[in-house]
Amino acid sequence: MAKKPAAPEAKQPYERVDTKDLFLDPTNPRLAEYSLGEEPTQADLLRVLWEKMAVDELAMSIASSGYFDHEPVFVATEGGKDIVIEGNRRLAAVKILLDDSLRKRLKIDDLPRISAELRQDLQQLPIIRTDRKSIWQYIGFKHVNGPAKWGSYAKAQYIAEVRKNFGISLEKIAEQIGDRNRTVQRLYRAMMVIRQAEDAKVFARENRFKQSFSFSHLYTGLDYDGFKRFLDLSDETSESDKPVPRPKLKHLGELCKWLYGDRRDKTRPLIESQNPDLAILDEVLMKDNAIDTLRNGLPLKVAHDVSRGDERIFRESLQEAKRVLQTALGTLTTGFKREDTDLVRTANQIAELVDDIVEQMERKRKPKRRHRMSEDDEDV
Amino acid sequence: MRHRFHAICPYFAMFPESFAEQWIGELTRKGDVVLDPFSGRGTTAFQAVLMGRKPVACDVNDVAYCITKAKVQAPSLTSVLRRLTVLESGYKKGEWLRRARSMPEFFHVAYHNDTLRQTLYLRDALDWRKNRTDCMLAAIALGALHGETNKSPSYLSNQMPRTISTKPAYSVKFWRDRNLLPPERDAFALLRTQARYRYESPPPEGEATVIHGDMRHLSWEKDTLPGPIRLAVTSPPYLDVTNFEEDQWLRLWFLGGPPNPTRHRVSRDDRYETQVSYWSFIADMWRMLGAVMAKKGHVVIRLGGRGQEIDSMQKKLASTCSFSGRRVELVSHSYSELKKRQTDSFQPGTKGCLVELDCHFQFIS
Repeated sequence: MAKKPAAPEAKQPYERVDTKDLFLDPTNPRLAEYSLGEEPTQADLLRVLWEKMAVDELAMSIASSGYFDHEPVFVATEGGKDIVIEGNRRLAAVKILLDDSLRKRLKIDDLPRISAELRQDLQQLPIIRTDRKSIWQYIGFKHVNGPAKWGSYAKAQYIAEVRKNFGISLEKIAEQIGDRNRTVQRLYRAMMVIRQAEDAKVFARENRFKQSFSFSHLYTGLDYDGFKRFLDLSDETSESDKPVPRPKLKHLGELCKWLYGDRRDKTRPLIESQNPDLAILDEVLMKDNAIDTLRNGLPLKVAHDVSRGDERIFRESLQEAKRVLQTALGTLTTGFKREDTDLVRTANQIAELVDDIVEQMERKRKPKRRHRMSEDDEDV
Repeated sequence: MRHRFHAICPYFAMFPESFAEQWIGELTRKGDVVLDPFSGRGTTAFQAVLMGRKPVACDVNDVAYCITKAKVQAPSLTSVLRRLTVLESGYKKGEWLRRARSMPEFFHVAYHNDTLRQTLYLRDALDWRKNRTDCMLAAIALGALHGETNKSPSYLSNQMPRTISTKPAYSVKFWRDRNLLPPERDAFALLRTQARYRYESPPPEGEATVIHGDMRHLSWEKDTLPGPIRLAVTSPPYLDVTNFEEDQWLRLWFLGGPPNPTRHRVSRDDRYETQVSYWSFIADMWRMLGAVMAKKGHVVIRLGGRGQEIDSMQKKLASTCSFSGRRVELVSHSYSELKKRQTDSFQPGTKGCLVELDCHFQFIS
């Protein structure tokens, strides 16, 4: 268990600042995946926090129990403004509770109205003044490896920013936040791979097919041998900001399209769900002829069949069929109703398929045996 | 003159005989074996017989099997007419009253009462699976079972498309909305007329193999085939364009099936219905071709689909040939747009195939 970094020292009681003078952080790592542009407005930040970060749960909690004064937000003064660098969800919840026009704009109609007393209380919030460099370990511990984990893209964004802005090595970051599984290096590598793809213009996140950006597909996949082979990827310990060699950037573009699709030409991603699709894609990436199958636009399953080969497909199909039919047999007593005649037909079709398979297997084992399908005709 | 067997019974998504004729003439010699693993109405097989080749045809659908078999293993006209006379003399109108009454509403609006009774009798009497003559009569009856009655007296039914059977509820509403009544047709007379008309082209002589079953069986049956296959000309089911069971439900009923549309009853393989499984289905076709095709054998495939980029379809088809386990080369490909579609007359805007792709492959080894 890592030793928890201490929160920065603060004098008691905490300084209180008018809520209206506190600003949401436009560089909040949580928001990185939502493509808010270079200079998002406070309204943009608030909208994404509300829609994507379960701020409603916090707002309900504050509406019923008030704001806990022993949970100050951390504030850095930047460009003459008090920016909240830790506690953005709490600030968003309070602003939404206080401001009816905000609620209307965000179409929020399921929050309780707060009492005049609570409204008064929320006019100011407890803060600790600090700067980003002083508390990066604390934030890292809390959100990367600790009790309030961010999504993988936010974590990677945060690690990349700490390394870039404060010149701290990945090893040091990992040590400070108690990471023993090279998570920091792997997140950083995946972030650098995405940036390489975007810099080389072989991928753009905003062109992805699905609304959400599943960074974890790439982050997880880059640990797999097929992905590494396809991209000729450098080891995560290299801490390189260009993990993919230049000649493989085209491959990187193809991989991103397979992972995330492309809304411009309505290409769906091959990965519908990380398990099992990511492991299947990894197997495909181990075989050049299977990769060509994907390049020709065929579904992942067909490419997977190419990579597996028919002997393995046949064996695994039979084993899988046996396993599934065991389940069907086990649930027949409680799961089959007399009126389910369609299932009787399906069961008979399965029996026919099995008869065919067994018959052909036997024939292959005894090749001299002959069987004619065509019937002799009789004329009238 | 075009051989009159060609049009015994239309079928959905059929290619013209000129397509089969061109490739058979170009790529085979007399006596060569020509395969169509998705024979449909048997155009490839029948054209092959006409050109002195030995066809092997295969289809899982009863309608396709019946029509193909009738064409390539045709009995003489004499035996057809004699059998029809025997059938007609054995028909007792009164015996079919109760049976006709028990039929669903669709049949009473689709067929005149007398025609329905005759049709029910013929359905019961024709032993089309085992008897060549009955198979020919069944095929002629299938061609007459439904069609554009407003344009021709050759159909037994109220106004319907001739390539597909529209669904019962839709059909009944269509007829009632327009006050369309079923025509009074004597099924025996109509079949007799049709048989004579078809046999104005003499039935061809020649060896033909017709297999009623899944095309995947062909690879197991290769020892029983008349020889190595020099050419395959085929058009697999198109992706999500038609369901040959549901869309042929009325003809399937005539051949012994239930009196309503069904799915997954005739075919236990419905993989052509979805994009993901379709190409696994096509991969199985290539596996089979890899097992049965002669060295340097040719494969000509016509493929179509809705909303698919033609280049993408061609790439996918060419890519799946690796499943044959042999070296295959794409020799040429071309595509054409479909303009006139049967379904447009009855259900404007219905989904159909807009583009067709023709690919010529050759096995290198």
